[in-house]
Amino acid sequence: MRPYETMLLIDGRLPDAGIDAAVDRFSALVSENGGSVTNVDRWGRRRLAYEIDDMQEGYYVVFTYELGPTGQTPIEAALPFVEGLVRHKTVRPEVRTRGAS
Amino acid sequence: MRREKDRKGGKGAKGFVRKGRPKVCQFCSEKVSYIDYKDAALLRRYVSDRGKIRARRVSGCCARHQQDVAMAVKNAREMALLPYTIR
Repeated sequence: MRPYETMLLIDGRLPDAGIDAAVDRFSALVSENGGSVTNVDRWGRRRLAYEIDDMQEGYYVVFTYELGPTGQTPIEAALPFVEGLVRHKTVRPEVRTRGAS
Repeated sequence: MRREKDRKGGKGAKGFVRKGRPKVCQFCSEKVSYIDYKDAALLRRYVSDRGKIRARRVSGCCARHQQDVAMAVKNAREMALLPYTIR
């Protein structure tokens, strides 16, 4: 199992129910692929640094989760079909962490 | 006869004194091992008022951390945490 961190940017114009649906869908995707969500950090609605498709505001959620090495591909494949999800980014901080430098 | 100017801080032939102190990479001195793209407030310090990434000679970062900063700024831009340009 590897630690992953995914940020979701959900359309801020959606009602709260729509946002929760997208968040739940992502949690479900992680567990379907054999992972376990360790933390969900809801940043809430924030103003975007630039407009995306006439959208000024987005809802940010940061997931931290553990997943096997083959789990990320099917999740990434399913993300374009999540309703209301505008952008997403997955990083593995452990890979980017510098050792003794 | 003129003496050669000293590299830093020293007085040159005409009494020219170079101002300032040697730059130290902020991340090295704080022993930061991971620069998080989510920390937009931190990254904003490494971006000009036009939204461009500051050069190493301006930011004072070492080569390694400048790479990390640049990567973090680019990631943050993708997620609309930082602007690509400010007009």
